[in-house]
Amino acid sequence: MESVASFALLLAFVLTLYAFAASVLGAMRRKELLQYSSYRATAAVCALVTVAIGCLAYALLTDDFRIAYVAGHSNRALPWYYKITALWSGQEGSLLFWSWLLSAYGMLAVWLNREKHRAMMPYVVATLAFVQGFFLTLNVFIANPFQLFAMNVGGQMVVRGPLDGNGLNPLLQYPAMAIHPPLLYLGYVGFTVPFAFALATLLTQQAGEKWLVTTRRWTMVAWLFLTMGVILGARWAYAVLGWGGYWGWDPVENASLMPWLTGTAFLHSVMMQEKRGMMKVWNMVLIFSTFLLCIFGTFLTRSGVVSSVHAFAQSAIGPFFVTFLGISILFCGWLILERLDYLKSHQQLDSLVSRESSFLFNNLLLLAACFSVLWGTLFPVISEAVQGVKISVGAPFFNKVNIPIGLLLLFLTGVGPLFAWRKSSLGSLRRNFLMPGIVSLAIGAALFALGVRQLYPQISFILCAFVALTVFMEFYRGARVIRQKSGGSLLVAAVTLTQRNTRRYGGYIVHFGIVLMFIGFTGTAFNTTHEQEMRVGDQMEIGRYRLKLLELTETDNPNYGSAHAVLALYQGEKQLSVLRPERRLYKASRQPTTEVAIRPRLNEDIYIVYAGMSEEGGAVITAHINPLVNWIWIGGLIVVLGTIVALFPSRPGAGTIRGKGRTVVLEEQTEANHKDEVLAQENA
Amino acid sequence: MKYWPRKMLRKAGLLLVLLALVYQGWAQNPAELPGDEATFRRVSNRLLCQCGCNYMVLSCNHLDCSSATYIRNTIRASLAEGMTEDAIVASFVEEYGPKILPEPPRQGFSWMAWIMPFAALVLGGGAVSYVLWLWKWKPAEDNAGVTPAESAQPTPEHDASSALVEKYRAQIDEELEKE
Repeated sequence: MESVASFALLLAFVLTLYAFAASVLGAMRRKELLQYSSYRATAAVCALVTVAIGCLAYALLTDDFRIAYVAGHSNRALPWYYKITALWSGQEGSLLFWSWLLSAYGMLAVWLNREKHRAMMPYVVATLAFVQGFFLTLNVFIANPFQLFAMNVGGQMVVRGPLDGNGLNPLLQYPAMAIHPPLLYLGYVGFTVPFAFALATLLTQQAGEKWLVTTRRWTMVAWLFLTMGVILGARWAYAVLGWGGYWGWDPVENASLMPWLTGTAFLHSVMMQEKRGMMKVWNMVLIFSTFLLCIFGTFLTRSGVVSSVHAFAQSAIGPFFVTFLGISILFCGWLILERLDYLKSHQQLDSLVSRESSFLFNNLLLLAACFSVLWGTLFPVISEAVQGVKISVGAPFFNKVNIPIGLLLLFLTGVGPLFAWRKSSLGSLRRNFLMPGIVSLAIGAALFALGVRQLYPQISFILCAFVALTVFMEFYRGARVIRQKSGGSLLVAAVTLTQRNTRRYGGYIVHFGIVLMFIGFTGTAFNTTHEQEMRVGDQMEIGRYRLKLLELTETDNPNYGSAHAVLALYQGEKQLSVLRPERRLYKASRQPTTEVAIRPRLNEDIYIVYAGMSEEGGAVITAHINPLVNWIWIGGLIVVLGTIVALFPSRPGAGTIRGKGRTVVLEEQTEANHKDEVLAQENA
Repeated sequence: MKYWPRKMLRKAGLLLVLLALVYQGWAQNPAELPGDEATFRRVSNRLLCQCGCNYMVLSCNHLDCSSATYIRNTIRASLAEGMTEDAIVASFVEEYGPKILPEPPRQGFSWMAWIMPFAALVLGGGAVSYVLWLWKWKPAEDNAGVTPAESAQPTPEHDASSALVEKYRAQIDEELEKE
């Protein structure tokens, strides 16, 4: 089986080289046959890599410990679903997983666009094949997951695996971890497609902005997956790492945040190009940066250049990534400079108080946040290179630098959509800002009176209220007009409104989700922690709660042995629940872990960690009260929902409620189109 | 203003003012920890665990972590001896070097860590302002040869729906004026 898989990978590598050569030659010599041949090669590569990854999954499920990767990352007692997740838990497997996702994305991109973007597609295929070729080089020659175990038996080397494997890293044995890496990878890899389209656009100097719609949609898909991956990663850290938080500014966490920030900047600034034909160079820079940051993130995770608790798979493949990154940066930079004339656009601003200005500042803040994260992540390496002393950069640095930037971004999230394109009149500003401003300031005053005295939380809550109100206003105003025309309830009118412009109102839903997430982030300022050594019957006070240790128990299964602390949670004399934090010792890897017990509520989580046994024989219990933290996960879900809404095509004709109003809507649409034509003529 | 039910807003405003007045005297800061424990938490939150976890000494929950346990015990012992917070932190820097601090010290080359993000923000802000100035005041010179019609080619998908929204906005404005 391993021979079939290795051969499939080798053949995939050869076909990738062919796809690259055929697409480039086909485009240069205008040979359609060669071009179509390269498209089919892309599909064949996908099929072959699928065979290879299928073989690895089969080997993991059947405990084929002759294969070194299986022996290193799985064991017999591991549940079958975690055996599947072992696919991406190690270096070789995760690189193969990357290759597989890329081949699937590549095939899908070719299949969906081969007729729509005929001139560009050969270059899209060439770019995808170039990236695919890099990863298949790693799969075949550097980090092959199908290497066999050879043992010395009686002086002769024979292929024979150990009786049992080392097991999966215990930190990865958590349900969210089964889907977090694939989602993150779907995000990382997904950005290759818009990168390929952008590169092909520059190479072929496409007329018009049709390619931009395709690129934007692919970017949104990748951004959606990356968002889900990042949020699930935070949830995993919260539930598994057991330190009470969800984001430790670890280099690998930072690596996933950076392309998210530049991708977000692109999704905003691309509107400037679509709507006004502006910022063409900048958009190219953003889409290239996003892709390169994805590769850089993988490099950080894999190379061991920075130490990280998340870097599950490390080896000496760093130089290959550095070379690939170097070539890509040089080529992209050269191409942008070479095509500056093509990217020249009409840059005219009617007013400084406009949507255009707000997008520019939005991009500035997102990029500043990205730079500060990159700088902080690399500073230990830079400081060691410059002065020979390694300087640590931990969470306090990132919080100090990024919280002000984040709050400014939140402010723009509320302000930006209220500005009109081209120019905002003083009247509309007053109308849009006055009420949300007054209400949010009143909420701030009330919170101050209630004891919220810290500066950043105060500002954050005020801004959250402000942005939420502006989003609400946007829906309310639009829905009210539709209801007047078509009847029905306000809720139905809001749905109709959203259907008519999914991108705009999906975006507002995303903004609302971000607000909820900021509410959750702000809750961190009010976290409470208490640690106490407890014996059975002892009690611990934390905040308005009381914990009583009822018993200490032990259980065992083939995968791990565990010790539980059973605690009753009281508020006053009322027992609220029984919590069972746990310590596990995984047998195969001999690694201990903590399994926290959480009592989740919308206002706060009670988060209990059984830290271990003290020398005196007492159980060390750490209790955290984490206010508002669940709003992060709820907000995350809403962000995902909003992005899905924005991905659906708009239905400008939507709004016929119970058969009424169809004519009215169609008339409105015709009028609107006419108005646009007049505006375009005026501009010209 | 007229989009908001006025009565509801007035009531909400009154409620907020009342809440503010009632709770002003009552509001307190969160319950404070006993002195020694609070100092211990502050100090152990100023030091980075050296086991490679990237967490503060206070937050590292690795079972039997040799680094965190040693540092915590040393902090408690030092506090018992009457050492100040700064002296305890300095003693750890002497023992481990600056890598035990969770953020770059504000001295020498490490200043760069703090300066660069804000310098980038300021420079970026300057660049954005310059670009806006160019777009606003010097469009003719910079856009020679490119007409708005050539440059701005809004996608069909974008047109109709956003135009509708703009129309609704205008319609709302008209209705408001009538009211």
